[in-house]
Amino acid sequence: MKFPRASEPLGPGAPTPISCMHQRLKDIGLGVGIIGFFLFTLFILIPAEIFVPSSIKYRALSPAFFPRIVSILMVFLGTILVLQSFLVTSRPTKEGEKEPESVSDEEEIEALSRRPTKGKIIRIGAGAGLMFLYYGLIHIFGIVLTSILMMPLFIWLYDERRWKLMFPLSVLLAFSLYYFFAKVALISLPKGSLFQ
Amino acid sequence: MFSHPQNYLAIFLGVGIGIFIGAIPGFTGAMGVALALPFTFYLHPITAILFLVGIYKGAIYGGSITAILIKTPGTPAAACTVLDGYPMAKKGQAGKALGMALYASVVADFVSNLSLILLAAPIASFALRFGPPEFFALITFSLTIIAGVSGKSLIKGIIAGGLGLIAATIGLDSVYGSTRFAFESVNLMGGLNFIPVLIGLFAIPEILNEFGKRQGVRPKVFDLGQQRLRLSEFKRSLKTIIRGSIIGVIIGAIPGIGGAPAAFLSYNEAKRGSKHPDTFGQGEIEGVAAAESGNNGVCGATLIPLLTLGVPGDVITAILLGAFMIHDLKPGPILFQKNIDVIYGIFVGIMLSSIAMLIIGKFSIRLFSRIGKVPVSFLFPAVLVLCVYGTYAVDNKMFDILVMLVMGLIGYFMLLFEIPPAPFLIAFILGPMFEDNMRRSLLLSKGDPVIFFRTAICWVFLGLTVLSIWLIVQRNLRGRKETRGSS
Repeated sequence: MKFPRASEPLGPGAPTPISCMHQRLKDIGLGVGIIGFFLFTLFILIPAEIFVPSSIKYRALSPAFFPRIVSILMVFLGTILVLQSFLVTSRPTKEGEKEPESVSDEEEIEALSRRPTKGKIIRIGAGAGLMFLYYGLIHIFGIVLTSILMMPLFIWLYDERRWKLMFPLSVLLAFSLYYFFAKVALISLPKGSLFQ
Repeated sequence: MFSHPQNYLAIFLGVGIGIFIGAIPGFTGAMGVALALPFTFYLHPITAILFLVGIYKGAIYGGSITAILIKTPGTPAAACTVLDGYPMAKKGQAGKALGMALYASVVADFVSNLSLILLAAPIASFALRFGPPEFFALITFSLTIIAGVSGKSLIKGIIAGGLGLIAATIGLDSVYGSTRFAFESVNLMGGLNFIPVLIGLFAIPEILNEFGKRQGVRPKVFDLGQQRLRLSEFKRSLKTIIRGSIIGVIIGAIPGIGGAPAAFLSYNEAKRGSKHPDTFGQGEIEGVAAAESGNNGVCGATLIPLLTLGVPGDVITAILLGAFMIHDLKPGPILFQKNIDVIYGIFVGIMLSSIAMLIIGKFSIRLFSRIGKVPVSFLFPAVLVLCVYGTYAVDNKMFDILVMLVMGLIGYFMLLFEIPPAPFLIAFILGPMFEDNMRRSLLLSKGDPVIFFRTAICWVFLGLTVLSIWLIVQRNLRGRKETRGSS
């Protein structure tokens, strides 16, 4: 299976640079997400998931008091972020005047390098997926064997193809860490359901 | 207590590992200390802390190696070293630049350690007068350090801090024992462990981000060259180094500023005071001396607020605070009363760390100069395996690995939305202290908030908080005006 290169563009056609507008949309999205999540926390999660004893005399001593204050603060901050993004977008520019937040060449290049491309998304998604698979397999095969199996996969995902180096390194690292934690630090490492 | 051989070994090993980590672009000192933390649980507290402090100090110096050789600062604090270090490398003077970076770092580190030893005890004895309201006021002020580590956007920094505060409330409430956001899960009732959160936020997003990059494109690494630093050149730069060290100490003692601003300030002062300022930026050896003395001068001084008040000044000291807590030690004035042996052990050890840096740096400069060539395709997967073993070892819980991975995903999305992770971590650590002191104060006063204004100490810290917020807002408004003006 061949993974797409990191530099591969998301769709057909030439890549377009991340514009200021894109950044603002991202900020608006973030702000709305923050407001939504913390309103949900404030009105659903806190009443449902924080048990408040009836014996509390002062409101400020309630276990829900601090999370509530933080949630209100976050809703406020999310609102500021959204308003800030809107205000910057709607600020009128005089004729011939440059966009107020136009980015420098270096920032543009940096933004381009962070641009999500199809290749990047697939590789990062695969990497994240493998990490959770790693976690899942530890339950079955134990930490040592899973590490020996998974490390070459991660190395492969980083475009490395020197198999003769990959496997010995994986075995060496997994057993060195096993030796330190199990023999020196006397920790019982997960053996996995298969070997228990 | 200090003279045990394992303490010497911890310092030398810590500094060596720190230099190695600092010299790898993309790895930060915070990441290094976070990854090393699980390996220290089984050590004596002094040995563990010295090992971690060694990594911290080594990483700050190590950052200069790739800054000079490949124009990529290994750590943010070394960004200023690029200005003159890289032009020197291009001229074939990389060996000379690295030599100056080493000696300036060692001198600054020594000055910084000395300031810690001289200032810590008086501050700690003053802090003995603190009760819950005073600590509440102090932590309120400390939370303003979030502004210092917020990066480009203050709002996003505060949002990260808010997320950290909420994450810290998961688990059992400290006063009534009620569950908060536990969703009837036994694992969540214990709260989120500090180390999985830390590793998840600082290591996993970098590993994920690296998947998206094109590998195999190796940077050009300059050779050390034949020229070495001469004594006359060092003597000529000594004034700059001392000045940079003092700037580093002052900035390091103030929570929330960090190594990079200290390096730039020291560099600007050196340039201003120089007879030939036009050579700065073109391979001036004094520029390297100024930058490196500035950023290393911070190291010892950042431990002043940590050890005396229990307040972390930056991300690494926040991690060190966690390390103290893991060993059942609570940094602050009480530590000076109850565990003075630990304090003395740390003091002796950190003085020795300057010597360790000198020895390791001097004899392995050629080896460390090759670190830039190490392929990340092997390094990052190895780090991931290390993260998994280390996280599991914290509490022997598979759940912690899951927390690390989930925090890693959150951290990656924070990276995408340009939300800095440092405020999250600082708020995650300070949050419980803040809430606990607030509620204990209110319990004492039977709910009367006047208790927060009962002493002059409270007034001073609350006043400093207001002043700090005012300055932050002013700085932001000024920055925005300048952006508009320049466009």
